[in-house]
Parts: sequence; C-alpha cells; structure tokens
Amino acid sequence: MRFTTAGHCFANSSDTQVEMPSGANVGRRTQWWPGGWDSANYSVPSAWQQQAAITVSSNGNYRQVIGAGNPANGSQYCFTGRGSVAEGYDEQCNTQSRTYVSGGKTLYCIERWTHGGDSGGPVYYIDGNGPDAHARGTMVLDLTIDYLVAPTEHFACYNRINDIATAGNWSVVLWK
Amino acid sequence: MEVARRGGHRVQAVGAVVLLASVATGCSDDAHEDPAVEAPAGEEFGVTYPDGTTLPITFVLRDEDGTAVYLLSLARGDEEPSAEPIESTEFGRPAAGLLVDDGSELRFSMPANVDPGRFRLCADDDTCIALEVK
Repeated sequence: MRFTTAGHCFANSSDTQVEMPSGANVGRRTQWWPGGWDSANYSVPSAWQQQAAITVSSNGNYRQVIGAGNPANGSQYCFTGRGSVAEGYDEQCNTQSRTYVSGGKTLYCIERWTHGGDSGGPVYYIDGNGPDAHARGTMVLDLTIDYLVAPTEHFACYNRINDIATAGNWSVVLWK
Repeated sequence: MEVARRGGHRVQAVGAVVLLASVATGCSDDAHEDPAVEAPAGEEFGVTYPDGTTLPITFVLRDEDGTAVYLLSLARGDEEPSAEPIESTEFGRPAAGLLVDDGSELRFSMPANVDPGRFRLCADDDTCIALEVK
C-alpha cells in the first residue's frame, strides 16, 4: 500500500518518516512527479489500510475517508495540513471558485489561503454535517493575486485526486 | 493503492552563514525602517528566524512599491537556493513549509539582475523583513 503527498515536499530525498495514529514507519518512495504532476507516492505497511482517515486537528480528531470523486466549482471543500494546524487552524472550508494552471497541469482552487506546510494535505468534501469525508485531492500551491488598490487575494490550490491516481496508476483506498 | 493523508514538511537549511539578521513582523511599518538585511545582488544571503516559527519554503520579494518581483526559494537538503521572476500579479508558490527548530539560518539567493534598492522579503502578507539589495 502507498500514500500520496505533494511532489515538492521532500526535495531529492528518497524516503521519509510517515506518522500514523498507530505509530511511525519509514515510507519508501515509489514514484515522484508521476505524469508531470506535483505528486509523490510512498509505500507503507498494508496493515495501515484500515486507517484511511484525515486527521483534522492537533488533538487527533479525524474523519474517515468513505469516498472519492472529482470537484466542481461552486461547491465547498475543506482541507487541513501541518502548517494550518501549527497556526491553530484545524480544518478550513470554503468555496472552490476557479482553476489555475501550473506546470501545464490544472489545479483546483479554494477561496482560502494556505499556511506553509499544508502541501500534501488532503482536500475533501463533507456531506452535510456528517463526520465522514470524500477525497478530492492533495494541496500543493498557494495562489496569490495582487491588486493595486484592493487587498491581496489568496487561493488554496490542489491536485485532483483522480488525476494523480491515473498518472500514478493507483486507486484510492477507503476506510475499512 | 493509496491513502491520502495529512502532509507536512520539515526542511533543514544548510550552508555557510553569509549574513545574520533578526526578524521583524508586519510589512507596513517595517518597510520604512532601516533594512535589517543586506543582500548583495548575485550572491547568497541568510536570515534567521526564532525557533518555533513555521514558514513557507518560498518567499515573495517585493519592491518599495509593493510589487512582487521574485519568488525566492530556500535551499533544501543538498539543493541550492533558487529564484524565479514574477511576471504577473497572479502567481503561485508551493504550500510547503518548514519549522524552525534548531536556530539554523535560512539561505536565499538574490538574482544578479536585481537593481540595488530597498525591498521586502515576505513569508506571507503580514510577515516581512526589510531588505536592501547592494
């Protein structure tokens, strides 16, 4: 089994430390920038499949990942990441309103700023007020738009999970 | 098969100390103070931040008018620091970050074609340091 993160996360290092609720392990890099996407994939123990979950706060609260699909402009999505949690933002949700092309690849952007360290974090949809999540992608980029008179705008832009799964020839594992 | 999960980054800045400066926060006021950092064009320079600070790996260099002119990326691992010109009012940068936890100096590279003058080096909209390019 593998996990996915942003390709720019770990420079040229080949392996990394992967932390899960049950403990830490070494993730072995299996793919880096597959298909030109800002994505990297690491192998982890198969036993971790039962933990297909999104940790949404520093106190360990999590959402089970029960589905995956494509995003749509106008819908509300959430994301979390180490940078946001470090700054006291457990989970941020807002409207996806645009796309942005980076490196020839289309990213999908939420009306929200990122914090340094959010890259590789999950982007997901929450159905109603339910506790579970539906995967949509992985965070990769902060988009800045400067204006002469109006305040600067920021968008949190992510790789669509179905795009990077196709490029890496893998499929999303759901909570068991 | 994949599991998408929370990401995060810890990046170690490496290399020789070139300059050392303290960090002030808040773009608006600091820009009018004497620059805390001198950055020779075409050379590397360094900045230190307090332990416990979370920062992006790519900073925005803004001129005195506030125009974003370069993205300056930190050295990571055995890589060299890099710079990329900003040619639009709309620009993206990696959402990656680092946690300063060992007092290390962060190392940047100032492009050779940057005209001398005063700039701001911004981690985000509210966290900038004044900088003078020599």
